[in-house]
Amino acid sequence: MQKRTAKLEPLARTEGLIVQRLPDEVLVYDLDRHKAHCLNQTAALVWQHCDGEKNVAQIARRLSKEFKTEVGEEVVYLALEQLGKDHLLAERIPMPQQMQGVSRRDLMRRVGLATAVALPIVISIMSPTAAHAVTCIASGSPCSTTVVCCSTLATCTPPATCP
Amino acid sequence: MMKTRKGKPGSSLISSLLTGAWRETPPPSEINAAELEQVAPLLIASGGGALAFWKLRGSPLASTQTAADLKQVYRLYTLQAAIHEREIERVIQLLNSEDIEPILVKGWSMARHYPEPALRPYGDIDLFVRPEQFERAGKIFESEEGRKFFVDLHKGAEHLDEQSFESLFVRSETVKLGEVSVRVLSPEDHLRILCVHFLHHGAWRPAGLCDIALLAEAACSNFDWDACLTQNRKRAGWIICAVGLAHQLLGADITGTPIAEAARKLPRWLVPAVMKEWENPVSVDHVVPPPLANRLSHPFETIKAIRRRWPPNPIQATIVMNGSFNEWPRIIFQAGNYLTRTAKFLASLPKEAFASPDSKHRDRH
Repeated sequence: MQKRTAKLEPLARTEGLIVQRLPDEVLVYDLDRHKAHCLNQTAALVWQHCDGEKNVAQIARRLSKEFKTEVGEEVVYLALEQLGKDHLLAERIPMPQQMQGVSRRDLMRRVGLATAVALPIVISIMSPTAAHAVTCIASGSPCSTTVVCCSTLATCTPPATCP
Repeated sequence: MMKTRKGKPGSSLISSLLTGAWRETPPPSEINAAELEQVAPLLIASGGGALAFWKLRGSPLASTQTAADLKQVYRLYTLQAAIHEREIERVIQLLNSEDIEPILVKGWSMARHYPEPALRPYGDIDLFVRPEQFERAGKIFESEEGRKFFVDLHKGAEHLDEQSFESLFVRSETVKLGEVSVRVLSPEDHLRILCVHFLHHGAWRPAGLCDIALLAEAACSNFDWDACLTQNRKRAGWIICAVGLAHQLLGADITGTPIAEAARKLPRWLVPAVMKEWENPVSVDHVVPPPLANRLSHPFETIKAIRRRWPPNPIQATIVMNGSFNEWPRIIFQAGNYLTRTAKFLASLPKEAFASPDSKHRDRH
């Protein structure tokens, strides 16, 4: 698997996203799906190199250089799989045959044993638009504008009433 | 009263954890892991989660699961801040296209003073507009695009300040946000408005007191305290008390300010009243309660709702009744506030009783 060189050149999605870079991770908000994601450093670096020109092998080499340690293609594939699933790539990249049909948990363990870098992780965080809990309104109150109900933390629009 | 295993009340822990949390380099935290676990839900739900994370960075508690939860809040606020900034840009563009120049208050105009704008929670976009432009501005937010934004338009500074829009405008300043220039209040006017707003809501939000602490600490040599306190002596007393609370409960450094001495002499009932609110800053009592009229058909519910409204928050009652923050018992203002609300409710009864559910909804808003 290490020697396999992919011909695919993944491309990161840029439209409809808000990206915030923190010192050790990248936060992404998907304006179309109203979903927020947190990419750890490895996933963020893979995503950053998805320019539609570099293939998986080239991305792996760039990561090796940046982390100053050998990074296998499977680490890149693992990141691409998660990025694709969360709609952060222009197109999903198919996993190589050797990695297909293996549970994500097994894959993480297998790849984790073979690499010194942190495994790529993309976690979902609560959508910012649903987080107006500070100004939520009580059960039974009518929604004057689009507001968030304290009981459900869901959006309520006029003329509805919070359950 | 919410207590930790060691017996410290939740309000003391909030006070301890948020002390200096708004600073670039906050002072070390003095609470332990069990206390953090106890107080974190209160802080998260009342808008202080990101500030708590900021305070704990680099401390031994930063590796706890509770700190990880607080970091999640910080991440969330980071994205919220970015979204909020985009929305403000668009809202200002919409208003400017109709020759309306609003003043942005609270929200981002306050958050920009923090080391990171993500340390403060975001709600709606509060805007002051000239009274004669209020109706026109309102129409913008009835349009298809305008309806997407959570905008709270104020006719001048009504409900928040006594100063006219023009006098606030003259002292205001503009700051760049992306492609637009946003007009924000002068630090003097902003501090005054934040103090009154915090007290008017019964001082229940610890994060609101952090705003006051930050602005009071930032008040440098050219800060015009006379402009902040205005000629209204009663209001000046409110502001001094709010700054005094920021000093006493959150360690705001007010040394050298002309109000330092007065701010250290708070009425004896005030700190306990705030601490009582902070015991449960996530209580349903702090959100807009359902109107009593909704419960008229359920007598037991009505009685329960009436009971829930007594006693009113003494801080809020004093502000609503335009009272002074002195040593006098608060019962006078609480009773006055309760009777005023009851009278308002009774006066609305005939209208409520005969109104259809739809018109009830319309009238209320």
